[in-house]
Amino acid sequence: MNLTRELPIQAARFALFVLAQVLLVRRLELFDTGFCFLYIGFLLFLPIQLGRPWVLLLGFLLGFTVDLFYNTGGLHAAACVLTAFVRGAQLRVIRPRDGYDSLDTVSGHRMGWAWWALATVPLVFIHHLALFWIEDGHALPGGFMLLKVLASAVFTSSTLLIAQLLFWRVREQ
Amino acid sequence: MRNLLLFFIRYRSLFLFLGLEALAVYLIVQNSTYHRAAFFNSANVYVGRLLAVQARATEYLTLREQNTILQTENARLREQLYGRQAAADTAQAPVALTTRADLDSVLRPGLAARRDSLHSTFSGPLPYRLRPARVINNSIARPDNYITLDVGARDGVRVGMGVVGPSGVVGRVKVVSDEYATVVSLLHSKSLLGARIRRDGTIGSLRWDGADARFATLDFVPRHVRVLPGDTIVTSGYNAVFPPGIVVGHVNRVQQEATKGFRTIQVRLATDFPRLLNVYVIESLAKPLRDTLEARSSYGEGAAGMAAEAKNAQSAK
Repeated sequence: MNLTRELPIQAARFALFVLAQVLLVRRLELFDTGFCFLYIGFLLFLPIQLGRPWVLLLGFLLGFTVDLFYNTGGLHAAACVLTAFVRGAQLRVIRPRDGYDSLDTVSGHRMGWAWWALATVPLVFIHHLALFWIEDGHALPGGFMLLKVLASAVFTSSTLLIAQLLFWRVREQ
Repeated sequence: MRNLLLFFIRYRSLFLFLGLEALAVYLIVQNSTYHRAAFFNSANVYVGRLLAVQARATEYLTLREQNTILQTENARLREQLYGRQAAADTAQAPVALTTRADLDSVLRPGLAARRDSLHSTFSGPLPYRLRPARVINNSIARPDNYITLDVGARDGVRVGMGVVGPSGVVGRVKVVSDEYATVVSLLHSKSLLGARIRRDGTIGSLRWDGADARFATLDFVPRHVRVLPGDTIVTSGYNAVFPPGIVVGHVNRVQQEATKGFRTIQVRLATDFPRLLNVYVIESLAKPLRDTLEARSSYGEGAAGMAAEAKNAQSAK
């Protein structure tokens, strides 16, 4: 991983994901149950080789920035840090048999869409579960809360898929 | 020692994870206390500016609708104005001496004048100043909702001031920066509003139950009070944040609870939160006077303190 090449790219991605979230996607609400949190795409699509402490710190920064716009204190930060922590384990679990190539990224074009779904959807679900559960403030998850988690996870995952199909470069295999 | 250090390095991401989560939880707790000002929120200069740019771009889309809302408000205000003018005209007409007060005013003019001056000092209509503002950020679907306004300390907005919209109560200012203000919406799990039923003056307390942006619940209305669907709920004016008599909503459904001494009343809120754009921040000019007065009377200092505060308020104006 080349840091001098990677840093501007990731900074631009951070800005784009956050701006898209707070300016556009924030307004998208499906029947008050489905919400889109596109911004975690930044966290999920970070380079695979990036050290875990960095992923955690960037996760916190991402969540905190979004919190500023949502007036939620540290709600998104908490959910993002949890997602960042689980992401490390998840990437190890779904590692290909001969490990990751240095060119591998979290991209469906390169790794195949089944792998991409495994690397994305469970984390989206965990993020949304943490987010709505903490926000709800009750010890036990209620039925409506779980419905919100499910609907929003489907919504966010499909938006991430569309974003990948539209904006990620298709490399020659 | 070395082992301890190695232990920390070995599990550094775990410790970092726990530390960051603790920090996030601290931020959540600090933000969720209803009255305490949180530092990081949308009243922040950069966040506010970005939201203002967005609001400026999107508010054109709803101009037509907003104009209708404001025009409806104007029409209602004009109705009230004409009503008052008509009342003032009839009051000027000669009336028969029927009450004791009328008699007093004829027999002892000095007394009536003194009572009038006393009246205007203490219990006359309390003065309020309204500042127009625009909503640049709003949410309705979360358990705790906040609104960001494009006015701040520079425009004279202070923490704790009330906010009303064209058709009813909106919320209370929580945080103020130079140019922006964050408002705790009425749609907040911890917001409580002193309200009364306009028809008979029964006091209750209004809270939002967190499910639907259109409805709130009025608590603590005793069972013997008759409440009918359609009754208007207004602010009680007991806390000097809102003037008394601002419309909050209308009774939608009344529930009888067999085991409790109170009724639960579902209120359809007057404010259309999803389409909120133009609001007013209310500054109660009498609030400092009233707060010190209430604080003093609770200490039992009595009338001397009252008079002194009244004088202070007069000179402050």
